[in-house]
Amino acid sequence: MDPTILAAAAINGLLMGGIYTLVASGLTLIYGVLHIINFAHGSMLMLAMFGVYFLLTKLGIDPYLALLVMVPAMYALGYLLYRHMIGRLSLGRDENILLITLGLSILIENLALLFFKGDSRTVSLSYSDKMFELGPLLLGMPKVISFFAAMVLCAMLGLFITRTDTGKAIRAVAKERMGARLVGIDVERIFAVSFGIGLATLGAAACLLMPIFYVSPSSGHVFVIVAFTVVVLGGMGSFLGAVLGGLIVGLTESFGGLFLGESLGQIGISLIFILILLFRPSGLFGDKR
Amino acid sequence: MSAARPSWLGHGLLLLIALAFPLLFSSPFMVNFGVLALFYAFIGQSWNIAGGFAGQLSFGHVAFFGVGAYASTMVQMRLGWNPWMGLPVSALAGAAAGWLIAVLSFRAGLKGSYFALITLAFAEVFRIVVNSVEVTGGGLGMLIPMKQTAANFQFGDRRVFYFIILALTVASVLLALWLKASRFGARLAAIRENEDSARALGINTFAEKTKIMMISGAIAGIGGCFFAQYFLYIDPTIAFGVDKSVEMLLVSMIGGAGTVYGPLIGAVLLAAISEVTRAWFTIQGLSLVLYGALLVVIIAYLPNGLIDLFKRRSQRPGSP
Amino acid sequence: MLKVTNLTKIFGGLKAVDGASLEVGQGRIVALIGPNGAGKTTLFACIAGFLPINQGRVELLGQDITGMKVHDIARLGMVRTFQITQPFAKLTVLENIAVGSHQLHERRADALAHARTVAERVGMPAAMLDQPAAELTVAGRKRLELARALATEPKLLLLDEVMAGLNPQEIVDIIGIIRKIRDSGVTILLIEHVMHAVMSLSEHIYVLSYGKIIAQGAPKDIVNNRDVVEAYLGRGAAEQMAAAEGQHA
Repeated sequence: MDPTILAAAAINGLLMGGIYTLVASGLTLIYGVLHIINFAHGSMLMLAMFGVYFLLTKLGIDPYLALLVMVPAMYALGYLLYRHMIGRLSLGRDENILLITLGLSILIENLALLFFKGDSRTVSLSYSDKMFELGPLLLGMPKVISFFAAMVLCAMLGLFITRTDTGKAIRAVAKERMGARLVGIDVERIFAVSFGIGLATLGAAACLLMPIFYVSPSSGHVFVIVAFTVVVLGGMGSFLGAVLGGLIVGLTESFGGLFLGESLGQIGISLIFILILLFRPSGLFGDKR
Repeated sequence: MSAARPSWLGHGLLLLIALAFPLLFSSPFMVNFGVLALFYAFIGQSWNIAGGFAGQLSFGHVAFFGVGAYASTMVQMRLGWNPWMGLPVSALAGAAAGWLIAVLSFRAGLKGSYFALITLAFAEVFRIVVNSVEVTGGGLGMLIPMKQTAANFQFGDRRVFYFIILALTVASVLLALWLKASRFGARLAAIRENEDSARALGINTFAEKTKIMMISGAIAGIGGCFFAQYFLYIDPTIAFGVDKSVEMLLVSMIGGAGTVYGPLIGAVLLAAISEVTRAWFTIQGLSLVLYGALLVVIIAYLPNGLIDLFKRRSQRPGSP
Repeated sequence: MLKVTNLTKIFGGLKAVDGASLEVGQGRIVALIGPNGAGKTTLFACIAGFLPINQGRVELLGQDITGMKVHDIARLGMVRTFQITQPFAKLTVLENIAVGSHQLHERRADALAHARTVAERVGMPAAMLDQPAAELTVAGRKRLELARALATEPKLLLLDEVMAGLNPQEIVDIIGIIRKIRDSGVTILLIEHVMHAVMSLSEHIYVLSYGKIIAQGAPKDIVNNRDVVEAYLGRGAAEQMAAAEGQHA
């Protein structure tokens, strides 16, 4: 096989992987802090992407600029959603929460189907067709921009978690809920904040994905499996793991498509998910829960 | 003994109503509604015995349904077998899939949410495979040529299908009743409540869980065969898409997981929602919106399902 | 009945159980005591097959059961209870016990009937039987743990702190029940902190501290054993006590 093609596939895989990392970091944060497996993660990303789509088509706001709108908006949505809904229903078995988030995802996905119909939407920007040259390779400009933006955002999130007071509180609650409560941390608020941040990452990811991908009401499913695979690969609750996991998943998707064709190629991600759960459920970096 | 289970008289009455239904309401719409309700009850019961009775919640139960649907269709179309053979073939295929997923997942010690997620992934893998392979028709799926004779397992008079699915549903209810009264069922309940204690009391939890997954898979597989014969068309999305998994789960959780009649209650409700929204509101997908909302509401406020509303004096959430 | 030889269990570098050996003769009541964190429950878990062992051997009635699966060991006749009770929450008390009865009784009706007799043996009032297990008090749950294990008609019962959380009257009741169980032919190995119960029930005592068996013998010997006193009260405690006693003499 032509090395250029291989290299192109690898680079493209890594670029997408960076965005997957961003998506997964929200999921891993929500799990790490709230111990909730947010099944609605995929459909919320889809919702956010529709938001970006309409911001562009109705208000003419460029997706990358839309970051300034989407991130705070999704944060607020997440915060309120937790405070007024999920927070109340959080008491109970793990499986109940999973079912509730499942219910939410069904609700969201089908409301979208109702309002937006089933067609896929894509956006076309003035720079959609511009390319970067990397040696013999041509890389789409939006993809490259999105990748770097994703990495920057991940880094910012990482800094937030490690350097700020709220971030420290978040880590405390993730490690030891009761202890955090005892030292005076408002655990409920931290839960809401974490859920908000989790959704905010989706808002950001939506802005970065719209220029290079499509959105349709059923995209939620695709994203859910991808996000979960990244998270279990890297380890629930591990950021470094999410980064590595994202890159690996991106590469798998890319090479899968290259060697197995478009249809069968999708199988790589699900297979990784299955294999990890069967043989190394704590992931590459996570702690055993 | 719970107040929610009807007596022999009650059973008889239910059966009578079910038998009389298509004779009283013979419009295509009503017969279709009846078939749909019973179909959901049947595949819902499949999920119920694994998820409700044994506590193994799966999000990918459609995998068994799809395996059954494709297996029975393929032996008919590719091997030229009599379509009725599809019934045992789909049962075996479903059971085999159940065995495979069970053995892999339980040997790895997966439970709870992890188990739910891995079943989802398995269903997705199956979907991708049939979508990419020629012998299953790839993305186009498989069309069964219409030839409505009894020998061909196709019936112009849809009411025959109604009675077939009624018989299957009755069988599934009898199975569930038997489980409730048997040692196997008692062991499954123990496993559901606390697996470690169950092991400490001498229960081979791995074997029991695998057994119930095989039985559950067989039932869902038969459901797949029925579906294929009723609609004469299957494709990867229909056979392995998430929607069916959700419906199987929903029907049980809404009606009452772990009870014998929960899936029936849930199925009637779901079929009603589905047909009513389609007929009266002509809005596509409204029913699923309602399903999602219903799931959230039920889990939050009536976690034992609607069957709780039927319990009179004894308010306890025990195994009825 | 039970013979544990040189059992060692290591958790990531820490020896939770260090070369422990013990023997329980048929039909006897033997106690395993020791300060908190000594590794008693871990030892139980190892013996019953819940944890893989790093070193050592476990024999039940002469048969090597090391490494066997939990349910196989249970079927051979050794059943353990849990320190933190693990009832089948949504099932009734009777249904809980019946799970144990099903070991030997296949038909539901037989198992339920057997469960009733076991409940009686353990002193459960009939009214309790139809309660969901989740609604029981601590004492009720402990009794349920015991009844459930007993329903399997075990040869050897491993009781883990079956008296924790009981008031004095309940402890007296349970002591009587345990004696009756032994008299019916069941061998008992128990972990216990309630000292007077240990003293009055057991014929032989093993003392575990930091994973090691530091003493064993008849109750009266253990009470005066200096190592045992120090394990519980700290180094030098034995001398202090002796000195204090000397002063009073």
